Amino acid sequence: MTAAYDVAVIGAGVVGLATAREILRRDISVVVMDKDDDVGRGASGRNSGVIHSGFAVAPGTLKAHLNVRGSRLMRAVCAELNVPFDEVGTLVVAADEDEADALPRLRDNGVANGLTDLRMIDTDELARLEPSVAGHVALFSPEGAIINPFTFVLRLADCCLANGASIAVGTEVEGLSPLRDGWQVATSGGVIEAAVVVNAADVNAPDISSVAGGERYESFPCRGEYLVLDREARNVPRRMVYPVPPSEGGLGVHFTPTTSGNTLIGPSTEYVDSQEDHATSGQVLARLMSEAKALCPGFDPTDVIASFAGVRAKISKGAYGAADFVVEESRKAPGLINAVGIESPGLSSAPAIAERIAELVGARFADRPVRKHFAAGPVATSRLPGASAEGEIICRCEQVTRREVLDALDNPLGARSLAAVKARCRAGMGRCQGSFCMPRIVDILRHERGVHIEDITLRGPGTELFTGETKELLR
Amino acid sequence: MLVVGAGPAGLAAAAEAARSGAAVLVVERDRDPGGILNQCIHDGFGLTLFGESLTGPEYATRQIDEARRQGVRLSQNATVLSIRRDRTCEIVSPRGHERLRPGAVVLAMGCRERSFGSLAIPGARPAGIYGAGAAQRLINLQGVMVGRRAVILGSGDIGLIMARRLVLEGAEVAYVVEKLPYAGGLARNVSQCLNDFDIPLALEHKVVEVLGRGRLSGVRIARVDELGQAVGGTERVVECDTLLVSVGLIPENELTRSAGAAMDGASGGPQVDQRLTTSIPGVFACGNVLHVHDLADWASLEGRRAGEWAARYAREPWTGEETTPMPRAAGPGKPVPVSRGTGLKYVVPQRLAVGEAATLHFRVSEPRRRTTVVVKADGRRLSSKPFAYLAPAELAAVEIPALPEDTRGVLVSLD
Repeated sequence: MTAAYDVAVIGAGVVGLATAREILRRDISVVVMDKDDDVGRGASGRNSGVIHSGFAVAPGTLKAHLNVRGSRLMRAVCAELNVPFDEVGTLVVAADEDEADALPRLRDNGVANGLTDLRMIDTDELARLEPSVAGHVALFSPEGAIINPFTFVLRLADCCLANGASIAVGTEVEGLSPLRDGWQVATSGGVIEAAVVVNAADVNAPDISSVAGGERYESFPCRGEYLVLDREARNVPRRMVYPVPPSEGGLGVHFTPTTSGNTLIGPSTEYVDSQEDHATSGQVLARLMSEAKALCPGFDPTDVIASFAGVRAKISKGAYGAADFVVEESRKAPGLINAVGIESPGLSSAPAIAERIAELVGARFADRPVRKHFAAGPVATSRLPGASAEGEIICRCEQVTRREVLDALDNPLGARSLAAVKARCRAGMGRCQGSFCMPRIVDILRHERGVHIEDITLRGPGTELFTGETKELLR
Repeated sequence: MLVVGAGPAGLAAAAEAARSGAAVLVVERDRDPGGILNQCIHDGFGLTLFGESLTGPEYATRQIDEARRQGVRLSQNATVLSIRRDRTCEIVSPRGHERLRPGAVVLAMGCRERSFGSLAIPGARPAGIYGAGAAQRLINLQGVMVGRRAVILGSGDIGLIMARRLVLEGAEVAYVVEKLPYAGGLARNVSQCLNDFDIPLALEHKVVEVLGRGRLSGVRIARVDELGQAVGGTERVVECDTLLVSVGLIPENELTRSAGAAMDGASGGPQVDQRLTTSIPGVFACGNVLHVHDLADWASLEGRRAGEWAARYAREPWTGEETTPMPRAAGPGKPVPVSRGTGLKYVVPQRLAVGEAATLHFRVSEPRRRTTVVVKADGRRLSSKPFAYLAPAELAAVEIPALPEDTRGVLVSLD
C-alpha cells in the first residue's frame, strides 16, 4: 500500500513541524515523518530554549535574515500556540577591559542586523541587574527571550494534526526515488509518495539530500553539553548571561534560565564523529563547572540535577556563523526542498525558515485554496505543563497530577515512553530525576493502559527498562 | 494536628499525639500508609521499638494499627503543596483541593535518594540506571524486574540491601562500588547482604562513565585517590545492563523551606530544639526529614517525641512564639545555640531551651576509634560519653542535663 501526499516532510522537529504548519494554511496534504518514536527528539529537544534577538550572527547572511525575522515571528507563533514566551533579555558580559573591546563590535553587528534596542551596560548597572555575575561591563539585548522547546514542538504537532496532517513517528527514511512528478519515499513504515519532499532532518539532512541525488553537504556534528540546575538554585542570574564569544566558535558557556524556573549551563562546542552522539563527557562537564564558576562565582555545583547533550547540525567547521543556513529547492533534485545546516540559531529561525519553505511549496500548489478552517492554535484538549487544582500527585518535584500523566500518555502520536511523558507534563524533570514518579508511571502504563512490562521504554525502542516480572529470571 | 507523611516517624507522631488527646490527621502522598517501610521486605526492623525483628511491612502494620486504635485519621494519595508561616496547609488529593490551619504541624516527609543526574557522570543516558530505592519499589511492590547483571554505585544501606535482593531474584551483581575506603552502610548489612552472598565490594572506586546508548552496556570504574579523583591507568570496564545508584539520602525539605523555616546545611533538615520545634511556631519535625536516621525505630522514637510536644502545643501554645522567630521552647530565656567541633558532621538539635534535659544526636565526618564526645556549656563540661568506634554510617547520641538559665552556648566536640 502506498500512501500519497502532496508534501512529505522528513524530520518532526521545530523546522519540520513549523514548516508543515505553514504549508497547511493552504489545502495541501502533508505527512511529517520522524525516525524517533516522538517529535522533537533531535536538536529541537536538546538546546537552550533561547530565542536569539540576532546580534551575534554575521550580517548579510541568510542566517542573520532568518534569525531576526524568525525571532520576531516567534512571539506571534507562540501566542497562537499558547506557548509561554518570556522576554528575559540577554547580557553579554566582558570579564575585563580587554574583553570589553569586543562588545561594540557585537553591538554594531546587531545594528547591522536591524536590532534597535541594544545598549551597553556599565559595571554598576551590571551589578544591579545581575548581582550574581562577575563582570566588568556588558552588552544588553532586551529582546532575547526563552521558550520551552518541548512544549513548542508538541504544540506545533498538535496544530498540524488539528489541520489534517499525518505525523508518522518511528518512521525512518530508507530511500528516496524520483518519480515523473514527485517522489517515492521508502520508509521503515512503508512507501509514501509525495509531489514535494521537505528535508528538515536536522543532523541527518546532508544524508537525506545525498540519498535523493541532491547537493552533497559535508557534515560536522558538533556536540554541546549542558548542566541543569535545580529550580531552587540560588546565586544564578535571572537573565541569559553569555561571556564574550570565544574565538573557537560557539557562544561560550552561558547561563540560561528556563521557562520552568531551572537554569541551564552550557553548551560546550565539540566536534564528534557521530550525528547521534548525545553522550556527555567528564572533561567537558568539569569545564562547564569551572567556566560557570568564573562567570558566576556563587554558583553551587550541588544544585546540578542533570546533564545532557545535543548535536549541532554544522556543515562546516569554524567560528559561529561560518557556514550559512541552506533553505532552498535542490537544483540537482527538483522537488526536494532542503533545510540543511540548521544549527543554532535554528529554534529562533524556525518560523522564518517555515515561512520561506512554505512559499517555495506554495508556488508549486498555486491553484490550491487557502484552508477554510485553519486552526492556528493548539487543539482544545491540549494542556500546558503545570500543577492542576486537583488530583493525586504523581511527580512530587514538579507537582504533576495523575490526570496530567494520563493526558500525556494518551497523546495522539501514541508516544508512550517515559521521555514522551516527561516532555508533555514534566513528570521526571525535577530534582529527584524520576525516582519518585517513574515507578508510579510504570504502574499506570501497565495497569491503566495495558502496556506489557517488556515494552515499557525510556525513549522508545532500544531503551527497554525491564526484563519482565520478578521471579522470571529464577525459572 | 496535622502530620505530613505516614512513614515510621509520622505514624509514631500521630499515634502519640492522639493518645494524649489531640485530633490528628495524617496526610500521605502514597496509596498506602507506611512510607518506605512498605518496600523494605527484609527483616531487622523493630528491635528497639517492639523487641523483635520484623519486616518493614510488619513494622508499618503495627504502627498503622496503633494509630488507628488511637483514632488517627489518614488521608492517602494526598500531597501537601505548601505550608504558610501561620501553618495554613494547602493539600491536593483525588478528593480535591483544600486548605487547613491546624493547631500544630508535624513534618515527617522523610528523605529522597540523591539522583544519578546530580552526579554528572558522563555518558549518553541509557536505560537501566535506577535509584536503588526506586528499584526496590519496582521489585518489591510492583513485581517488575530491572535487569540481569548489575553494578551498585554506593554502599549505603539501600544499595547493600538491593545487592542481595537482586541476587535473590536471579540477577548477578558484579560489584558494589564505593569511593570511600569504608562502606557507607551499617556493618550488619555489609556482612549479611554482601559477604554472605559473595558480592564483591570495590572500595575506593568510582564510576567514571556509563556506556551504551539504548540500554546500559557497562560502566567504566576507576580507583580514586584521597581527593576522590580517578587514578590514571586504573580504569576498567565492568559489563552490566543495570546500575543502581545509592549515593546518599537527602532530607526532603522543599515544604519546610517554603514555609520559611531556618535550615541546617549540615544535617539537611530544619533547625530544631529538644522539643523538635522548628523556627516556625507550632511546626515540628521528626524522622528523616530532620536528619537521616540509620534505623526506622529511631525515626519512630523521634516521632513520638515530636507528636507529644506538638499535641501539647496544639492544646496550649507556649509563650513567645508570636513575637520572636525562634520560639522560646521553655518559657523565659533565649534558646541556646549548639555548635560542633571538628570531626562532627552535624548535631541535632541545633538549639536548646534552658531548664530541660536533652538528647543530642550526631554523626562523625570520618570513622574514629576510641573517642570521647564532650558537651560543654560556656566552657563548663556538662556531659561526656566514650565510644569504642564511631563511623559516619552510625548515628550516635549523648544525653545532657537541663541547662542553667543564663547559658550562652553549648559546644559538642570530640576529645
